[in-house]
Amino acid sequence: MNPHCQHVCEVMDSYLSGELSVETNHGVLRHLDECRDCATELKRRQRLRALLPKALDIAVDADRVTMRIRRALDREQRSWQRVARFGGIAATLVAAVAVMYWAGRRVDAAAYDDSAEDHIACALVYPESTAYDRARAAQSLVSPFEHLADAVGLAHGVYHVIDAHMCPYKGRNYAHVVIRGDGQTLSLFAEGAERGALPDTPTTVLAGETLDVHATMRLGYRISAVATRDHRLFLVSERPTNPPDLAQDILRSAVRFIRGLEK
Amino acid sequence: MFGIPHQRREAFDRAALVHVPELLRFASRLCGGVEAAEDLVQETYLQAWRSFHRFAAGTNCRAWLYKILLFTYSAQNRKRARQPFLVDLDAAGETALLVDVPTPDAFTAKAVRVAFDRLPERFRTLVLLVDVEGLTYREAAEALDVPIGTVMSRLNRGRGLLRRELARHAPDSWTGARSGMELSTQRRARS
Repeated sequence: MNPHCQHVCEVMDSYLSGELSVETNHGVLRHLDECRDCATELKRRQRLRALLPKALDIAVDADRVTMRIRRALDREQRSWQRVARFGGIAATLVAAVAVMYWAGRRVDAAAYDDSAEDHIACALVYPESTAYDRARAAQSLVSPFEHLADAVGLAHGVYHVIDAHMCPYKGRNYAHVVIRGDGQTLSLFAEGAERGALPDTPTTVLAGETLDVHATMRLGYRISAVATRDHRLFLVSERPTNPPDLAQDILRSAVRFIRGLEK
Repeated sequence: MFGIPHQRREAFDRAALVHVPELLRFASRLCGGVEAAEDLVQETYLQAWRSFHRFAAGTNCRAWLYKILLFTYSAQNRKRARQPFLVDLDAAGETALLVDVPTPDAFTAKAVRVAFDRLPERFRTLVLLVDVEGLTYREAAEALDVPIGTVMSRLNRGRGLLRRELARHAPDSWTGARSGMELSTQRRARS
């Protein structure tokens, strides 16, 4: 196989996908005009490409599943709209019941699951090219978390904050700082402590601080959580940061900021 | 942007529900069964709805939904396996780079399906996204949250592996396999 044929074979699939530059595309077309072997290979790959969807065809009932999804979305939406529809006394009653409910709970059983799930649903769907927009973050964050991202620090080695926003998720209202670097995404969540104490897990003392870090795994993600007097903080990551102290630094900065708010 | 709940829901339905058929097909191939696929797609839409406040109108909803579906699928698998999810892009498929196997002259749909099923999952997913569902390289990069260069090299390997598996099971593939071996030898000689 001569070098021209080898090159054309290497880019032939991208040619079929229409992903080549105009210049390379012309080069391929010129070569195909002259080379019968490559033209034959192209036809075979075209046939394979055309046959692939048919070979893998599975009968699905998209209309029924669409209806099923609509119903699930309706249920999800209604559960929140019902709460929103109540006003005045009803809202007060609901709040009172909720306070009693949460106050009566020793632990917030869903604390870790919710932070891991929100990490997946929110932080992991940012486009790769997202850059931090201070104005957008300032518009989204609400009191008392307006300066959380700045307090944490926008850059930690190769890790950079790419967004900060208020993130409603399953009845929570997290301040969510999204950090990306070294091929992974981290989420720092801060919320009020209304939902009760953190689940009682083995703890480690954060070096130089008097705080306990609750370390656990949920949905394959590492979660480090800290409870302050009135708030809860969660740092979610896929794997240990490099260097390992970096995650603790981020968490420590956030804890200092939150403790400052509580003075 | 979608402040009033019913407006937000209408916007979501308009932007997202149109992709149910292709997501369902994709999920069925990914999960290997329709029932699991329906659950996966429904969970994908619920997750998408919960984070729709962050979706910027006018951006690529299709790639966004694929991305959520793939993360949901990975999360479910990790939960089942109780072990960390390892993303190793380069460990497998090295032979596909060394042996550029020409496509066999004759093959059946069944042979294509068998060859496809033998691909490692990371390659199967990408071949599904691009060569079956027709995502652009950029959309696939968004869906998988990897650089576009990674998409191109992984696709190249996946397609090469598919041809190799097809040639392996095609009765008249000796000529093609020999050409591949020659190419491999040439490359090794150059390096």
